[in-house]
Amino acid sequence: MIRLPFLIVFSLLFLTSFLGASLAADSPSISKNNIIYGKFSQQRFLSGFDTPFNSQGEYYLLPGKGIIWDLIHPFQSRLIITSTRMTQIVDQKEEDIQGASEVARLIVDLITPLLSSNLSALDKNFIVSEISPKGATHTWSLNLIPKSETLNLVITDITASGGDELKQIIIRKKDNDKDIIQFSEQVTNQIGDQDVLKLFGSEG
Amino acid sequence: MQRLFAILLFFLMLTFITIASWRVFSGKAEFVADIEYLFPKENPTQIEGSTLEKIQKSSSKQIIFLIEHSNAIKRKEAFSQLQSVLQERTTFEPTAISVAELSKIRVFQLENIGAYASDTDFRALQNEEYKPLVERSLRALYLPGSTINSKEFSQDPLGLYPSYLTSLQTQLSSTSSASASKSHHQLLIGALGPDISAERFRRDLETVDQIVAKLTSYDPQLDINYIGPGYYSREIASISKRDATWITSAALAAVIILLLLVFRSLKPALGAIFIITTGLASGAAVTLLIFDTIHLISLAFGSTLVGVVVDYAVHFYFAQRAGESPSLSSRRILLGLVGATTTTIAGFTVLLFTDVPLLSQISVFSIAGVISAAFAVILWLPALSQPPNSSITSNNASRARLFHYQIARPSLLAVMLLLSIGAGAALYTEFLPANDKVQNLRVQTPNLTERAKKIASAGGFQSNQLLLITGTNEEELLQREETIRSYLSKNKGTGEQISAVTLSHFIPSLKRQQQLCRARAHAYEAEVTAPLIKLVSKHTNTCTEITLDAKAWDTLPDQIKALKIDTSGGLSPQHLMILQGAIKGPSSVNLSEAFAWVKPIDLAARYSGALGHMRQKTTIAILTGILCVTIVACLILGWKTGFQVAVIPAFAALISPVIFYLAGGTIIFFSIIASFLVYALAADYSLFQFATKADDIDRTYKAVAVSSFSTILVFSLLSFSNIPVLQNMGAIVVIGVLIAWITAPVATLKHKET
Repeated sequence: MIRLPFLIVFSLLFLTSFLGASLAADSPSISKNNIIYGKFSQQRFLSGFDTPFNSQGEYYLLPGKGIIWDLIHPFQSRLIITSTRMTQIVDQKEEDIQGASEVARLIVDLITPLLSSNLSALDKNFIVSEISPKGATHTWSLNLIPKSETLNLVITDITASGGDELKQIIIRKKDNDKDIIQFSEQVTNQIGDQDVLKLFGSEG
Repeated sequence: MQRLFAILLFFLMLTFITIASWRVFSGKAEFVADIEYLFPKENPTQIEGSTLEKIQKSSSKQIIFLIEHSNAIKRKEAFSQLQSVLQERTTFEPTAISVAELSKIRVFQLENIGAYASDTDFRALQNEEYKPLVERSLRALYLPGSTINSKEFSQDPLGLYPSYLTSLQTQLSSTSSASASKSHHQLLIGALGPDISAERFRRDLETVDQIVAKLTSYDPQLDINYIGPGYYSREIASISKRDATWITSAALAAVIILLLLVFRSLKPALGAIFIITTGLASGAAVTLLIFDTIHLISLAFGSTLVGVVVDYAVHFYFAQRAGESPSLSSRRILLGLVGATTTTIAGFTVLLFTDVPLLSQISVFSIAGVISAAFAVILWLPALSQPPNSSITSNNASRARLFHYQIARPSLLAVMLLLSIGAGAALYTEFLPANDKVQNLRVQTPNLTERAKKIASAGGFQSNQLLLITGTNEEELLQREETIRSYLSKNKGTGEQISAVTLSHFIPSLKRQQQLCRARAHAYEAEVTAPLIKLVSKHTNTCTEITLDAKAWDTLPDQIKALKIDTSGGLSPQHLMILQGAIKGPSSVNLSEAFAWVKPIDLAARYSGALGHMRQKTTIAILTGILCVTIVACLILGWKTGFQVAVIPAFAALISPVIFYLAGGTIIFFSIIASFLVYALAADYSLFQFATKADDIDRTYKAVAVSSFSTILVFSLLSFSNIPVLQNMGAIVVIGVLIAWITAPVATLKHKET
């Protein structure tokens, strides 16, 4: 069974990455079949452990459809989130996450306004503050504190930063744990309906 | 002396009406339309008594909303808006477990992290299937966004607690009060406070109407349907009031027109109005004086008293002769009137002993109504009348009467007797199957049916089932809940989704905690878990044991606390278990068969069972009553004459539900109650015809014919009512009265013989 809080946090990460991307690029609203994808690498620091846990992978976002998170190293795993369901694929085994449709909808509901540069929608779920606004150096930094009581039990705050595109997010958690995720090679492309179907299946 | 008595009675009636009016206006007497008020009170000393009473109280004030919109975002917005406005402006609260409550549980559970594991993980540990658990934990270490925490990971390297939390949220979301699907959102709200008054509840419902109207007015695509026992009650109340008003008005108008046509004079019509008003006002006043809470169906049924009491006035005016003093006219119908009134009172008195509040009220209303109407005919009507210059009606019905009287043959009497016995046996043995489903009582209007259909098609909470688990102590109850959970998991059908919410999900039994502790310790020593355990240098196998003590109890959400039944009244310990998705599956059927300590709680089935029981009791009562009256009639009048008089009402009362059934009607508890009414009315016709003197025979014949016609007229109006009970009773009374009128000449065989 997939851990529900994990999915929520994952979604936050994804959201913040696109917050940065949209800030940096001043992107106009993205059309229906525009897919945004890129690479990530994560370092997880847990108190009491000498070395961080490192992982790498790719992400895909299709506004109006959903998001996909592909982990490549140290093992392969795919998580598909659409407006109605969440599915994880590990070792070619597909597993639906029951009772998570509300969370799935929340994620999709938040990503869409972000990509259409409707940043005010972020205020609904986060307390947003700008640490370093985009200036001549083209770098920026934002601080986000989740409003959700459930998420607050796990996360203290999130810092997102970047330049022309999102570079890094840091998630600080309870007990001095933290995740540092770096993003690279972000691309926006058009894809056909058949490709959408391939990625998201009928739920897409 | 008679005049003094008449004046005293008049003032007594006025006093009753005044006090009753004061009780209504001061709020001492309350009108209700709740379905549970139709049934006898649950016995709190019985094992399910207090539980059922609690559930009845809370469910009677619940409303289910179905929110539909083609746009998912707008649907969700409407859902959130509705939820917050309802909480702000009404006493309704969603029955969902709030985020704050879940946070409170989490703090407590993290202190006792070793006590928790999902059923799936618990089984995996017991079966030593460690590999999937290890892989899951390793994945959580690397996956971006994982909520993994160093402290929790040290205490729980296999990740049993986060998995338990996800599983719990899944269980709660499938049985909670708010759910969402691809096409709709659902919300269950309830005025759960025990102190919510009927008035406050009514105001809240009006606020709900306004909120929904406002929300839907902004967006024509938004559709919000809502229904529930509380909503039904309000609709029944409104329909009952409307029906009582228009049935009374229409009945009154129909009777007046009939009397004007028959008597071609205004006086009898005015006299009839006076008798009807006296009967209805006295019936309503006495009911309001005796009962603090009056069911509106009893008022609607009481309005049909018009058809009964008008007969007394009809007999009076038919008996009047030219120049004869009105007192003498009233005395000439006295025997028939006393006999008819006594039989009606006897019939309705039986209803007083049915232990059903609604029937007791109908009984009191009818008895008070007919007594006052009878007194009004004997004492007040003559005082208000003048001796007529000519007979209001002539004694010239001979041709019609003689034609009709041809049926009065001993052979018909024998056939009626045999058919009565057959019909009685068919009703008693249920050869004619009855339908006791409580759903038959539901008010049917196109609007309500449409709403109910929509919400039923969305499924949702309607498939939630409550199970009552009994045991000797709390530990045993928790263990039994866990046994059921395990049983459901093993026995559910292919593709069957069964979710359960129990107290043991939050406070596992000590037995399970100990088993979990041992199984986990064993897992930490296994070879397959070594790579994971090696990562955690200081892992601990925390085995704190938790029980349902005050500290644990305080952390539980109210909805979970409600699963523990208050057994302070000396009952054995009981827990409730909410089961979702198993109503039609094989599991729930097997569950009560597999475990003697599990009882499904189905309010509808309980009500239906109560209706069936009351129907059987009432059938026995009417059969006993008929037998007793027949024996008394035979003893007083001789066996032959006694039979002649007694067989008519018995035949009409017993054969009418049979004919109704054969014509496609459904026999319900209230059909048998209608038979009582038929018996009382038919006895009137029989007794008036029997008691009449030879020179009044035509007058009485006409009076009975007019009375029957007016009764048929009034009860036919009931079939236009929106209340199924009244429709059913109206149809049976019409059939019964028609049969009674056709067969009434059998009572005059004595005239033939003499």
